[in-house]
Amino acid sequence: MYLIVRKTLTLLVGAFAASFVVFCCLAVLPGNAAEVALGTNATPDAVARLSEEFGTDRPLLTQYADWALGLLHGDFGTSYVTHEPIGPRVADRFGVTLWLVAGGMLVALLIALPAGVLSAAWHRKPRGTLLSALSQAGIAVPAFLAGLLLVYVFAVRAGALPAGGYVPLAEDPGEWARHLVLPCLSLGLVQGAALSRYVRSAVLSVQRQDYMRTARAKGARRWAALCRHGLPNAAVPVLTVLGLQLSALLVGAIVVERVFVIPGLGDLLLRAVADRDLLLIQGVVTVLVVAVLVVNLLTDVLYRVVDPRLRSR
Amino acid sequence: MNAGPPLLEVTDLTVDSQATRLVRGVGFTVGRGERVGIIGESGSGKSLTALAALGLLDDGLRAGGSVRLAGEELDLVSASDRALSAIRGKRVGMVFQEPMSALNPVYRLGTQITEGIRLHGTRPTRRAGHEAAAELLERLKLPDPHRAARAYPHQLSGGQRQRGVLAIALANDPDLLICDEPTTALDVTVQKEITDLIVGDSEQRGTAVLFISHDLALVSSVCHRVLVMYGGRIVESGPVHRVLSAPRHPYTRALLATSDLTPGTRPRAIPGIVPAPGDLQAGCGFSNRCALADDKCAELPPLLGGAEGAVACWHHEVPGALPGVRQPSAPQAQASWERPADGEPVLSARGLTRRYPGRRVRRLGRRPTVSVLDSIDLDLYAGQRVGVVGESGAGKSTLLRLLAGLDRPSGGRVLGPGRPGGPGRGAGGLQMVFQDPMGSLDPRQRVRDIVAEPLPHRGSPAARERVLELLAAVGLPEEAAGRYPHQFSGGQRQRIAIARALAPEPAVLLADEPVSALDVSVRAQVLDLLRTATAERDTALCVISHDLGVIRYLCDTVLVLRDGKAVETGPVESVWRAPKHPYTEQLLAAVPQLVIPDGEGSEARRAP
Repeated sequence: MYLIVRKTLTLLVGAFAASFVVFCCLAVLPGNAAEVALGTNATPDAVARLSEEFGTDRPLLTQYADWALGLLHGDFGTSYVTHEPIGPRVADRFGVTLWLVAGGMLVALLIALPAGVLSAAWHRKPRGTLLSALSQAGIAVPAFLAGLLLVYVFAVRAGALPAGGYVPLAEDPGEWARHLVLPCLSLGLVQGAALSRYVRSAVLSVQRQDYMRTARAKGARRWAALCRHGLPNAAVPVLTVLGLQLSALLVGAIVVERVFVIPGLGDLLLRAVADRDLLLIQGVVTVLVVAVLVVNLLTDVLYRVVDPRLRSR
Repeated sequence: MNAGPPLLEVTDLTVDSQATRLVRGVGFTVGRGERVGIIGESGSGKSLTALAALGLLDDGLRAGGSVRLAGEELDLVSASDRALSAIRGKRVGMVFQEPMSALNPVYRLGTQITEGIRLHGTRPTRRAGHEAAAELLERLKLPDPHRAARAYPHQLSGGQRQRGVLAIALANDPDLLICDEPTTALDVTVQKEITDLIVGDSEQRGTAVLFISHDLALVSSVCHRVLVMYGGRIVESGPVHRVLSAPRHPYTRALLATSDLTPGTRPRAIPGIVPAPGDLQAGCGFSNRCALADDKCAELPPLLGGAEGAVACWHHEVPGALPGVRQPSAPQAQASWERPADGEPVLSARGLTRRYPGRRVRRLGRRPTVSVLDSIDLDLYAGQRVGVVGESGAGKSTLLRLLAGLDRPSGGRVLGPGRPGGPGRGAGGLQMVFQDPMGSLDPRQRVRDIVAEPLPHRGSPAARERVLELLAAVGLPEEAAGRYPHQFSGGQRQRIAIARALAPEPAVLLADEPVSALDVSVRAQVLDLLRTATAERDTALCVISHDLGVIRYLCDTVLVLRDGKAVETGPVESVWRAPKHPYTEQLLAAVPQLVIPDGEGSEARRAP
């Protein structure tokens, strides 16, 4: 418990540092919101007036404090471009991306765990080598290409699944699932291939440990020893990679959302960049950063659940 | 104990890797309640023999021949994993070398012990399981067994863990206990406790023991009968007292001679190196290192003999000491070292202390500090050889690191090379030899570059000349310069490490367990090298070792450490003969002695 409190505090500090960095990065970009809003033919007068209205004429620190305090209440500010509040839009889109990432992770795990464990257990046999080769080939495929291939096979050729679009869960759970299958697969397949390499090497190194021999000397069968004694120990290095991959999936989702026309956070971000909607970009990036920090926190806590040696520190 | 058929019968056992045969036809029996030792150096195939008997060989290895356990229909070599699993842990228990890694770090000790019970039939409740585990631990004389059963392995000491491993092995009261170097990684006092437990259990319950070790003295204190292995074969077998008092095979004789590190005798190291399994010549595997070898040895000698044991040698009837193995040289008095009247110490430590922050007692309380080393005074004079002994955790390595300047003391100071104002690592400076000669040599550097590393002008012809000189001084051929560390054996690598340390003519040489990773037959070579090399150059030597015999053999002065404090210091021989501190006495008493009981009765005991 103490640990979770301490880690959460660290996370909050990290989140604020990150929000400040994000704010600064966007603040140093040339051009200002009012100019963008009014277009190229605006008079300096009009720009000044609008700047005052937006509050972008105030000192940067004041602007940051204002925005950051708002964040604490869940208020992301109001877009200069669409004049809509940013918070609800981001929340809405984040939900979609979260489903996509969770689905992708699930696919990745469903592929990586069996493939990694089996290819390690069979590493001296041809079938183990075959599995290894497949996963290596999988790593070489970029996510968008996997997506396009999946669309071609399942949507265009077989016509079994929709090629794109999104239906909210509340509206129609069946359609929601059908629309998520291909995006999740294309996101998860490649990640799963990469993850399976890590699972394989973790299981391989665990198999060489003395306690595996002890387990077998007790009378545990080969697979029983691997499942009961090997896998919990292999989990620690795999968790590290899992945490990193989850962060990578958030980024990967941006591409996949594009391919499958899914209204997720990535789509929102790309649109915000195109519209030069700085405040929206700021909000989306901050949410992504916090998501990554939360993933790290969870990995940290999980380490300690898995490995008692880490608990005493 | 010899009634009925033998409990374990191994016939013509072989183990092959893809390229080479590692165990070359081994046959022996273990009777009920009998304790049989297997002695051998690395690569002799002793561990593989034990693992093959349980079907626990690594995936890349294949076993042949047959292993039969009394009352079982199966041949354990060809049996399926399912069939073997029913026997492992139930009828045969196994204890491994490294208690640190033999337990699974993610489960409590009690859970790991009861798992063995669960796997073979009975399924105790959680509570009953804990009780059973605690009971086993109590039987193994572990204080506070309930707490130990709830602890995770990392919360236990080495001795406690090894008791845990022993508890796992004994959980189902097996007929046979296989111990593979069960105490090699432990301190001498703990070693004695563990072997006493093994022997005690065997006496009480009639458990047969197959005890594998490289340590002859240890085997002599545990076993009734012994098998000596070399190059994947048994070269000699027989009752312990017969084999150790009247060894027949030249290898056994040489091993006995070289194991004896009593000062005053000159243990002649066995020439050559322990061969890698692929490098064995045809015929007798030992012939290339044997003083008695002749043409006949090109043919494989059979293992022949009767009740008093068997031997595989064409020349086993040659009596007495072997030429070239143990020279009956006049016992030279251990040259005791005299402090030079006018000499200044080359390295001097005063009040050396090292503290580390300990674990917080309360969440937000102050961190207590733990003293690892507490006010140590030490003077090293030119030509002096100081040995530091103590058990793990005594602060030996910390002391050496502080002397080497690799760590900063929390209190006190060191004067001498490597310190501000003194010479550094160059001429008149300080050099180190480490424990693991594989880990301490860069695998991507040639020996030439490794040895030249501490020299000022590495690439110069003078440096090249010096490297060859050094290699000759440590007994390595000139060609060695162009090769890489992995192409050498452990003993040779340690020679390279010593050559590197000697290269800049240091005034002080620090050695951290320099022979504990080496085979017995090459240990004496390396110790002799350290002794002569430092004597010739008048180098001061400081050696730490857990092996008291090594210190006694090599050093003239000894410092006994316990829990970071110096409990006794003085000339080696007088400390040995008349230890003043009870702890020193305890340490000396725990060292297993080669006990060769005269007359009948195979019961071997420790020296008082």
